Amino acid sequence: MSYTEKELKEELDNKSYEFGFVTDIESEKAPNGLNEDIIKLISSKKNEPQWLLAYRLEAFRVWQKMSEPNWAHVKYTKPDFQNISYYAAPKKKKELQSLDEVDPELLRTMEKLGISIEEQKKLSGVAVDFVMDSVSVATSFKEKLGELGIIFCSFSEAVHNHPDLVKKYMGTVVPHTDNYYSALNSAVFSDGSFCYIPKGVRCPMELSTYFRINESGTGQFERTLLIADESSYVSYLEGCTAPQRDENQLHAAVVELIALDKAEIKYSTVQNWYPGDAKGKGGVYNFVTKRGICGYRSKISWTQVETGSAVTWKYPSCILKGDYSIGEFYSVAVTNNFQQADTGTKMIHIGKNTKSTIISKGISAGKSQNSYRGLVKIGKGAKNSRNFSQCDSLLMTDQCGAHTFPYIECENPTATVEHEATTSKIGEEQLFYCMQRGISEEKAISLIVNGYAKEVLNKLPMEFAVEAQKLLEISLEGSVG
Amino acid sequence: MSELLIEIKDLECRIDNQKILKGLNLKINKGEVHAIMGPNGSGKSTLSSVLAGNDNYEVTSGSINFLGEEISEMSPEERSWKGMFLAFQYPVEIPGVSNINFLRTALNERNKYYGVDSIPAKDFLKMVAEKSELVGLNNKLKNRSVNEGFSGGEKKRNEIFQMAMLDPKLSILDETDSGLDIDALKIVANGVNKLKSSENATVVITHYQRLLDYIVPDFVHVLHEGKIIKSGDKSLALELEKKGYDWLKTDENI
Amino acid sequence: MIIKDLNHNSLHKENSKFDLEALNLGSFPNRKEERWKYTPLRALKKINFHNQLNFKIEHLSSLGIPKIEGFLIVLENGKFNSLLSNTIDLKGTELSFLNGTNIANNSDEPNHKDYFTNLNFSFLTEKVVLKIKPDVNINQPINFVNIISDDNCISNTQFNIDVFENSKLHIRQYFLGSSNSKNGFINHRNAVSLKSQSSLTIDKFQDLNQNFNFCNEFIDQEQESKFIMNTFSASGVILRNDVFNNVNGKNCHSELNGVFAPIEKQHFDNHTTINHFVADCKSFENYKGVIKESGVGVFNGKVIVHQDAQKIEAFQKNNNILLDDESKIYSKPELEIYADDVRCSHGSTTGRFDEEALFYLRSRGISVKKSLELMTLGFINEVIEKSTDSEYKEFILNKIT
Repeated sequence: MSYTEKELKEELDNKSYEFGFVTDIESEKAPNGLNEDIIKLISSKKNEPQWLLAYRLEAFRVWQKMSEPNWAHVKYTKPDFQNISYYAAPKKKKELQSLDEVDPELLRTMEKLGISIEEQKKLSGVAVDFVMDSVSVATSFKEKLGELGIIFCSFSEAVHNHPDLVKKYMGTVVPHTDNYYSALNSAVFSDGSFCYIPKGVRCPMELSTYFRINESGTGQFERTLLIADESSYVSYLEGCTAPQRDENQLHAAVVELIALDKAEIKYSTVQNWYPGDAKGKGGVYNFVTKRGICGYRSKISWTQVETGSAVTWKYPSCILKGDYSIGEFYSVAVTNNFQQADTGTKMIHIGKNTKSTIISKGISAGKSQNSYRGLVKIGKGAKNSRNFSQCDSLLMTDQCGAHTFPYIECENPTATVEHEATTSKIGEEQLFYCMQRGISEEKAISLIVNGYAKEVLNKLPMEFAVEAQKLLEISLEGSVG
Repeated sequence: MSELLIEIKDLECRIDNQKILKGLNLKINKGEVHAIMGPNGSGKSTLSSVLAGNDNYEVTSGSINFLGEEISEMSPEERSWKGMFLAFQYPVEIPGVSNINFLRTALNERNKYYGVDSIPAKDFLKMVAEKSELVGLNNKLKNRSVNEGFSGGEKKRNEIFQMAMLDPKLSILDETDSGLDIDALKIVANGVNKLKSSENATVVITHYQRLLDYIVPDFVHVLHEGKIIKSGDKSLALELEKKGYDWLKTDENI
Repeated sequence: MIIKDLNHNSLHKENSKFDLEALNLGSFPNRKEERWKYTPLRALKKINFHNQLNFKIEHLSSLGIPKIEGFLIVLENGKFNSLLSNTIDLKGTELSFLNGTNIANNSDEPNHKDYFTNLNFSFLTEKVVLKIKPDVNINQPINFVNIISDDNCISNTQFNIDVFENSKLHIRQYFLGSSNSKNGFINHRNAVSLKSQSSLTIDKFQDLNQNFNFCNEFIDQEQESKFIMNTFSASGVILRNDVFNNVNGKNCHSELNGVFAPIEKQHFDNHTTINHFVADCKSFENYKGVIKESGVGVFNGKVIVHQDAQKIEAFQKNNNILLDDESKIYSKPELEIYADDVRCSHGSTTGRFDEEALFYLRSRGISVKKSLELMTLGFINEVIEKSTDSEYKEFILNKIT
């Protein structure tokens, strides 16, 4: 590789993200501003049924009465909600003819991440050559799922093709009244993913939004609804490791998971939105509401690797309603430069003998602020429930911050709740030991950090894990103070 | 004429819906030493827990008659007051509660049950000094929290020390030899032997015959799949040592 | 909340009735505020208070505390009670009082402008100032007893403790409610200043029965000083302790410990903030909650390590035991770290006693009740052991288990 660590560091220090491919999107845009007419416009452009429009309008009315939350440990300029365009229909992207037309820096980063040539082409909007036609791969993939009765499509398609399912479950886990951003999302959501796994079906492959990247385009206000019917299993991957630039500053997604009795959902996310430049200018605000509800003996497992966004505000949660249900949250959050992350989870124990595990690993570098915020609530009826939480923070410089805000509410004496947290600097002795054995400082850091985050990375599906590991490495290069 | 201490009849019990003891019969007279041997999972430790009254185990049928009284529904503390003692395989650590305080409470609770005055501090301390000598328990250990930070050997010695203090009628030693080196084993066995009298009895639960060189049993029983499948004298233990358990399993007893 | 027959410092109007909401004290705390999220104050809010300063107690022994020898300051219903006190002249100390109309000369400013601090300053009736001169080592503990013995009485009091360079002091504070009084409220403020190389230990005991007690505590530490505070909360309708420990000098030791044991719907809330402004300090926190009979416990500990405060070691621990179905605990151990070369950790556990240990005790002939008592003792022992006086230890144990 003709690419030195130093060059990469420089590149990442000024991560300019000015990649060619985003400027080529032409789109049909709604005028800036938010009012009932805009919502009606969105709904009609998407050809939505009346009930959905009514839902959006109701959410909008609720949202208008709410105020933006400011309890999170983040500072940012509040978005001007009247200065955003809430609808942009993606037009066909101009296809580039070959990789030569793609920004070489982007390619290098992707190469560094170990993304194959084919995927690189796809991610950078290059027409995929006829031998490895990903559309046909996706098609055969869909056929296979269809045989098992699995529905996996865009949210808009689901509204038209599976209205009963959408109507039955949408808003049941994250009601439109839940919080400021979920209300906003419910009013103006653009599109997203829908997935249904029928009774007793074990989805044979990892479902990835990745397969639909060109089909619908990711919007500003995504909405995901995933239903695992009784005794089914699915592993779902969201996001991708390649750096994603988006001209939209504010992202307010809603993800709802429903695990019916004895079902299991594994939901993995790698988030790498544009974090802003080294001076802290620009970057995406990522305010996401993710929540799942568990039926009897079901299990929801959230795994996330968060390296991007200027401001992250995200708490993938589990409502453990069914007896013997299990909730898990595994998270690695890396912040560098001026990034701010306030992330964690909520485990709401309602059913008896419910169990939850929280493993959170925060890594702060540069001048960033990284907070864990979590709630473990043991309800009165949650007999014999157990929670174990481990929240560790690793500090790389003397200008960053690492914070832990755990809330533990226990209303049942038969429950056991354990919370542990540590905050420490990256071990100088460990670093020295590695370096004495001939490992460069940067490599040593990545070794140590990967070891530190291993518990979480191990929870990711294999191919994702390898990429995520490299992503950590890149996100932290040149970060030691 | 020896006097009956405990009689276990057709004892069946289960834990989490799994049947462990499946009709166990055993009679022990005062003054006797019984050894119970058997492969892993045969129910040895279950038997000791059930006798001591651990309510994780559910007695589904059969009876346990201890000194003329049915005890299978009795609380663990009441059994203790009546003279039942279990030396735990894994003695529990109780942080913050000193060994001394623990034992004094135990003795006083028993005295209270029998309507006897609690033991004066002076007498108690004298008794502690005497009994701890029996197993060579380090003086410092007595003031430390119950079993906390004790080595494996120290924990086992502490169990025998407690046994000496409580002076039980029936002592059940659950794998007391596990994790002990030969010197510690001798000390523990020596303590047990000194406590032996015509008024009490001892049950030694063990895997190996090694311990039985030091605590010589009058009877040896083989437990297999929740039943005693063979009983004999101490020569049975030697035979087991040589041949293992497999030859018994093919026996018509099963 | 209404106070009538009151002495209000700024207004000096006596025997009139005040609706506190009309005064500019800030808004009465509600559960939407993070600091009051788990402590509803309805029970306090609905009381109509007075602050007539009456004495009712004839002997301290009626309050169930052991006989106090030596230096003793007693405040009753917001006023210094000289008959119950014993303020012998102690070498190296300076004791002064501020009360009556002199209160207007109080030079202190509320450094934390919350409602109850404002209330305290506005209606302050007795302020005790104790100064320990440099290089003085006071061997015997100094006792400070603050009593509420009158129904519906609100007592706003302050205690300033200044320990000068290289001096050492031990204080025992008792906040007591007489067993036949109810709906009284001691709203107290401690302000501690520790000069370099000084040392102060405060043992604080709260036994309010049917009354309320809030303590706002401000501790400022200069270099190489040592501060230890052990808080034992035995009874009260609502007890709230707010400790703000500012560590301003290097090589300091700060230690906050507590045992809180609410029963019968009592609500005990411990809030602590340790601010590490400079490098090379150590802080320790260890709070134990034993919650039973519908009691509610709250622990909110916060350690803030500011930028440049390197080489800080901060350890925070909160363990809770719930003993019956209706008891509740809310625990929030927080760390805010802005420096990198630190070793900080916190742990919180909540549960019931280990069944195996319970069986072990029972198999030795100890009844369930006694076993639970023993295990409770073992559970809180770590904190009780901080006190070196065996008589005091025994007293605390009796009150708490």
